[in-house]
Amino acid sequence: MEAFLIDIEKRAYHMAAFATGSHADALDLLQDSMIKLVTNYQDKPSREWKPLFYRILQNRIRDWHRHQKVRNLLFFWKKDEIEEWPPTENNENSLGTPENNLTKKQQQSAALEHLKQLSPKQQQCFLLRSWEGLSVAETADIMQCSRGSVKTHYFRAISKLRAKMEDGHEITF
Amino acid sequence: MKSPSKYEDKIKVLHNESVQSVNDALDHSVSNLAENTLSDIARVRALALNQSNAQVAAKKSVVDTCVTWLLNPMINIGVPVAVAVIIAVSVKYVSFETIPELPLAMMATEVPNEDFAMLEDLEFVTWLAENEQSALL
Repeated sequence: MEAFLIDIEKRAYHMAAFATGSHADALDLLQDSMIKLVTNYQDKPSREWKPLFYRILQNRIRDWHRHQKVRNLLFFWKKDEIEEWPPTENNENSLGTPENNLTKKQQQSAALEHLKQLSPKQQQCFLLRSWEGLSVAETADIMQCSRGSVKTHYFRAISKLRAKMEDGHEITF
Repeated sequence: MKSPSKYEDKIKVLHNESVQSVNDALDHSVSNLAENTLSDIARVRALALNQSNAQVAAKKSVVDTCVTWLLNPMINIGVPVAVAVIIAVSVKYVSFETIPELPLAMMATEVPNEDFAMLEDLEFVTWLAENEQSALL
């Protein structure tokens, strides 16, 4: 189990951080998910751990969004300090290079920025399908929606990403 | 309704440089996480594993206590003896408020209705007398 957690923790943290935009909240969600998995599903076959873990994480993320919504409604006058995640990289060096401004670093930070701009569902769908390489069925099970919805979210996510990259002249088709 | 092949074709068309660049960016971001973030993640993992181990240990200790208690020789003898005593007492218990048996003469011979009426009157008078006595006391 420990090996599995070591293997998955960074990506899971990344997903949680993308969804919440906060390092502390991402760690909380990650910890809750890990505890739940280890406590309740340790006896399950190891091949089932990955979808189970992501399902737990998705549920936690959904709960977090609900709490945030209620909190924002109740304490509408309070403005939280917006923690920037992922932290923007210092591009001073790349800006100074004469030959090409679109360095790899810049492209990568731009790609992450585009991903951040997707809706939470599209974002999570993209991360699960494309980055984690899960199947449509597994993603649908994790996101607790139909396979058709997963396909739609994924298609829209890719289309938006492509459009944003085209706008930013990062890629041309 | 869209056929699966059409969907796959569309995805294939879009699944090109844009997706790859985002995936590369994500991989790069994961591989270049800050040291303090990595240590935080490791701490969270250790905490989760410790908590689950503590829960497992607590469960195990409860089961162990029960097993030890059940295997105790005093319990092994005492519990069956106590159960046997309770069963014996409950089976042999005789109530003091048992119903008095009917006189044999009443059961054996046919009693005329007048005698029954007289008997009922007698019972009533006896009951009345008892009540009066208890009221006086």
